[in-house]
Amino acid sequence: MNVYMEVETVRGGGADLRAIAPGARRASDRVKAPAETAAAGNAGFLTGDAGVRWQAALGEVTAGVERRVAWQGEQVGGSADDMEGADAGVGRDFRRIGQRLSKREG
Amino acid sequence: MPTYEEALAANPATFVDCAAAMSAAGTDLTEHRAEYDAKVVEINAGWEDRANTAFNADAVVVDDHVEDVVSQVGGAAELLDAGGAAMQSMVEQLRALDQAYRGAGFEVRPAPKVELGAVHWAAIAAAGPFGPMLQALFQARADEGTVQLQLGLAVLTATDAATGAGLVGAAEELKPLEDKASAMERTERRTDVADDDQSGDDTADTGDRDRDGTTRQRDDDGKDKDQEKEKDEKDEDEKDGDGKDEDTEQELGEDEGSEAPQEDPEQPGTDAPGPDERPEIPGYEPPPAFGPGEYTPPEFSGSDWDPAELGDGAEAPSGGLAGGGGGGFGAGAGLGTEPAASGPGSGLPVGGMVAGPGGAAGGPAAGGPGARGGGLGGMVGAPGARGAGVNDDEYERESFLTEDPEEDVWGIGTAENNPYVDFQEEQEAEADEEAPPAPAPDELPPFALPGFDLPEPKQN
Repeated sequence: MNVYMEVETVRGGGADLRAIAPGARRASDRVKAPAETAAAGNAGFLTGDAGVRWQAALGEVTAGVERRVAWQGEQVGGSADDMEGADAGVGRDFRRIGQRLSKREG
Repeated sequence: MPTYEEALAANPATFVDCAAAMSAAGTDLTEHRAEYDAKVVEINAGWEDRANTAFNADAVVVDDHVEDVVSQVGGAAELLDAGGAAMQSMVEQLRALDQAYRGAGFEVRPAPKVELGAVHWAAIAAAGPFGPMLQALFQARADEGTVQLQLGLAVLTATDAATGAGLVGAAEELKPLEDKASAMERTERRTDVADDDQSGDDTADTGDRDRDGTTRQRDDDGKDKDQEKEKDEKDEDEKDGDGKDEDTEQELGEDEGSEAPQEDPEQPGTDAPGPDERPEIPGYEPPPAFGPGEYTPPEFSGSDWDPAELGDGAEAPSGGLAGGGGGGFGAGAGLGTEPAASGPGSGLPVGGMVAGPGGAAGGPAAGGPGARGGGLGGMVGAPGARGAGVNDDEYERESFLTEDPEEDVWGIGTAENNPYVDFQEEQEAEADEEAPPAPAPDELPPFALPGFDLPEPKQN
């Protein structure tokens, strides 16, 4: 398995995911007012209440998508941090080894 | 269920508007999905490892989920659009009918029920003798209107019920994605183990999976190795078992005198102890390898000695003694690189060291198989001497005792802990005594066994 990461790209991608996450909610928000209007304007109609319920269900779904995408963004950003941290750690180890070697030689 | 008055006051066009908004929501979600996919592709372009694989697996889940939601939203929008439009036209028809009857002077009760209005009663009264006939006519029209209105209301109600039920079903089908909160907790717990450099709070679950994966793999490797080891051991056991079977078979063959033992590559003696378990004889060097032409396996078919001579009851004495002899001659064969060192002379000294009991108690017996084993070594000597088909553990037991005593792998190197110390001293003493008298090859009696006195078979 190759291991490869452009840390900044990935970190930026994570931030982008978090940024676009609320876009999902736009969909259910858009339906909210019309559904309520329809329910109010059609008293006694089952469809009016059903529309409101449907909108609420869609709201849960879009909120779920939003949370999930935001979470993914965090994970992606975290992976970038991970990779960077591991890279720095390895680099530090190498430097330390190099210093020790040069001390021994000197 | 709307009443007649509610139906007249309804504005099903708002359902159609709502359906349009739902369609737009579907479009929103499609756009969101496209945006999301583009971001995922962007991220993937700069990232490749296990965590990325896990991320992509999760991204596929989200992508599929949003796609499903879009199609569900589209279905619900169509349903509501169709239902709303139908209801709109029904309500308009109902209103028109209502207006028509009211305009004709009828009274429309909210049942709905059309009744004759004041105009009609006046006309009936004015009609005189034709009044009842006129009344019947008006009443028929009113009843017709009642039926039409009731029918219209019933159809509207049914459409509403169908649309509403469909929408409720669609709402129930909309299942939100499971949150990954638990996974995030897990990541947070994991950060105390993580590198100091990491800020910690954001450590990726994907990374977690990565490490888990690696660990699991390592475990698997370990398990695999264990399993392999077990399998090897099992194989070896099986081989042992096979070897014993073949041992018996081979004895049968020998009885018939048709099969020379060394021709069988699966000779039990060769694979009974695995290569690692082969006893190491102190001071013994591996044979300096016979040249291709130097070594010719001796012919055994000429030997007069037949295990059958031992009789059925011979296993007890012959097993132990001849087993020792075999071990000895294995070494003898290895050492016997000189051409002259063939036959018992080459084997006996070493045999005496390794298998003291054989030399001491059963000298003649050891001589017998030894004569055959001089060229062949213990591999062949042992089965020949085992004779009566007893599964002989002697070989292994001895191997444990004599295995590299200098290394003291068994922790019995010190005299005080060594239960065999007396035995070993005895053995050494005996070896010292016995080794010198080994006759020079020239002086050895001819290689013949018939006159040779085997230990008395134990008669039951």
